Amino acid sequence: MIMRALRKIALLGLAVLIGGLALTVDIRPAGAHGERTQEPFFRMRSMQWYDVKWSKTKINVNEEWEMTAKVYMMKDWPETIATPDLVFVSALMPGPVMARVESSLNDVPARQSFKNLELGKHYEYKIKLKGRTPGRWHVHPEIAVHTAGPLVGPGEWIEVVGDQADFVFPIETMTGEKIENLGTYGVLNVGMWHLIWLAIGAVWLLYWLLRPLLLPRFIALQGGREDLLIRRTDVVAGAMLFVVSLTLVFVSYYMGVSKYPNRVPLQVTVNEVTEHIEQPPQGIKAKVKRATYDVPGRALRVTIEATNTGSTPLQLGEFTSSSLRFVNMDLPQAVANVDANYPKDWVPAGGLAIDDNRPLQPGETRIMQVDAVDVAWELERLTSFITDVDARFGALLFFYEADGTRHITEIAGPILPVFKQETAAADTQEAVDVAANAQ
Amino acid sequence: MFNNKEVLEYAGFGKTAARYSMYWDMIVVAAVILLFMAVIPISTTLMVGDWDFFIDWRDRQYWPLVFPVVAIWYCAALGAAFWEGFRLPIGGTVAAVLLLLGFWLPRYINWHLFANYPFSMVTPTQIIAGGLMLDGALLIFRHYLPTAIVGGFLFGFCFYFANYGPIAGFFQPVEHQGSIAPVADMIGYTYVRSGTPEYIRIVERSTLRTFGDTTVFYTAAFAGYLCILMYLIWWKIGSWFTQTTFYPNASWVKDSLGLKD
Repeated sequence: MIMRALRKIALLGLAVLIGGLALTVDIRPAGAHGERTQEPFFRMRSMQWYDVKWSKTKINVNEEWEMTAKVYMMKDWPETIATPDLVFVSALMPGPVMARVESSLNDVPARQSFKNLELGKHYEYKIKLKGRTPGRWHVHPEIAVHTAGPLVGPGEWIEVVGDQADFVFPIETMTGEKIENLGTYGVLNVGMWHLIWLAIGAVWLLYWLLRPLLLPRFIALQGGREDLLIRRTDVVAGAMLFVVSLTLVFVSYYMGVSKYPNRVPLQVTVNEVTEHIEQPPQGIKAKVKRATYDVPGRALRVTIEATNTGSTPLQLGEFTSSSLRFVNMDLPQAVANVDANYPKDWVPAGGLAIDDNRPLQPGETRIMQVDAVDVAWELERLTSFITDVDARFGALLFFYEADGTRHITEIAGPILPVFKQETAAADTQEAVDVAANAQ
Repeated sequence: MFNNKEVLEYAGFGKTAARYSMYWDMIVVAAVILLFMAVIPISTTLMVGDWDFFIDWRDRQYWPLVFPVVAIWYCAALGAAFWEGFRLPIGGTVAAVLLLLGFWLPRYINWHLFANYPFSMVTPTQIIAGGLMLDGALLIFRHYLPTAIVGGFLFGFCFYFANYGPIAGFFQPVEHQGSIAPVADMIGYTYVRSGTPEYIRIVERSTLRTFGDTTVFYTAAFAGYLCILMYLIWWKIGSWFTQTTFYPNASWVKDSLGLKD
């Protein structure tokens, strides 16, 4: 019996030890790729991020770096989510591991929200951040849309080295006060006042708790002897408490406002982008004739009717959707547009397959079969449109002139799943034939 | 100073009984602390939400209105429980102290240590001032109705002034990217809260703009009036839930247990 008891104690001790050890494990490294939980239509049909640049991928605590990008508001914005009538420019990362120094949208400062972003327009995003917490963090550009949620671009791993204890964010007020560190400012003062109130509260509670508390008082009250429980001394103490509390409230308020006479309330301004950036040339028109997702082949196959409405030949260089960039590896201008340091996760190695890679001449209309093949569609969970209420996709196409000038156009349309491999190729060919005949 | 002997004598408690009664008191105090230090902050947090979490939500319109109107619930309910059963005017203070302690712990452990937010961003709010005034008023008036009118009103009205003094420094103006912002806004901007919906704060909306700087006084007065109503409602709730009542056993229960009438 003793042995059984000892065994129980030993097991309990082991459980406590494991539990205690578990508490020491830092679970914060789980903070990445949360955007994969968003529905495909949400990511493919709302905003398309491109030209994303991270100025540094390894920084020290307190070191500043910049993230820039362009973002396009799709005209085919999904009906199921709110349009970007009220947005906030931010960055997606696992908590405040970076501090935000500055941000802007089309060079308009972005400390406050923006209203009425226009669909069909390109915007320029900039954010300057400062390393705060050591670690390796996945950081994305983000625009959060009111009631819809955060819409994010591609992420890159940023390594922060150093000690968070060294992090400081100094700021100077317009009244000349130099705040050494925004993160610790005012905490001692708040703590001091809370201790004062706690002390008064404790004194009042002890005044009552250091007496027979429950049963004797209950019995006395039931017996009608309230006079034993509440005496004149107690009433006087209560009155003093009332007056002291009321006085201290206004004393603390007066001390605060007289120490800081120049104060401003929280700001609720909402910005508006009044000037658009130079929009990319639109020398191309494209529409989707048919789009399928080949499930076993992990391929998004789109039959596009493209018309060159400009005056120079154009070639399709890139298909991008939900930050995935399928690049035409046979087109040097397109390949040159991919920075050598761009995260490889977002640029599938297989690139973009195009059935007819010849330049599209001015005035020419052509049916093109474009295949974007990669397991990334599944990794990013973009194939869950199959079980979604909105089986429609969206993307940007980048066409290039010979000198590298880029024409960007939006495509969108319904998408069909193809479940059997043997029908996938036939289906594709049929789509091309049907589109060609219709032309 | 205290008439402990008289009370114990009247209750018929000898030394041993008084000692065991004290042990029982300690158990109940510990249980009340553990239970309500969890319940009150959770309940208040759910109802008040971000206005209490973040320094850049402490506006002059919603924070001074929403917080005291919700926070007074437990002050009233516990006030009823302690007063009607034991003539202890401590309900307001107990609720307020436990709320503050229950806020400080998770702010420090969860928000600061675990979620890594700076403490200047997540300092909690106190209602001890209001709780003390409620208890003082209850002791003076000895009835919940005038306590509600005087103490309840002051609980709501004084909330903003009791908490604004310590955080006044957070409303100093700063120039950032060509526009003005208080230090509180800068803290909210600097420490990124990502992955949330568009971080639109519900601060200072509607036509109270007409009143300019005096917005807070109207809000405080309105909060005071609402607190009177809340105090009355929750006093009744506390009273109802802590009433003692006796239900006679059914005859079949007595028979099955072999009890005689």
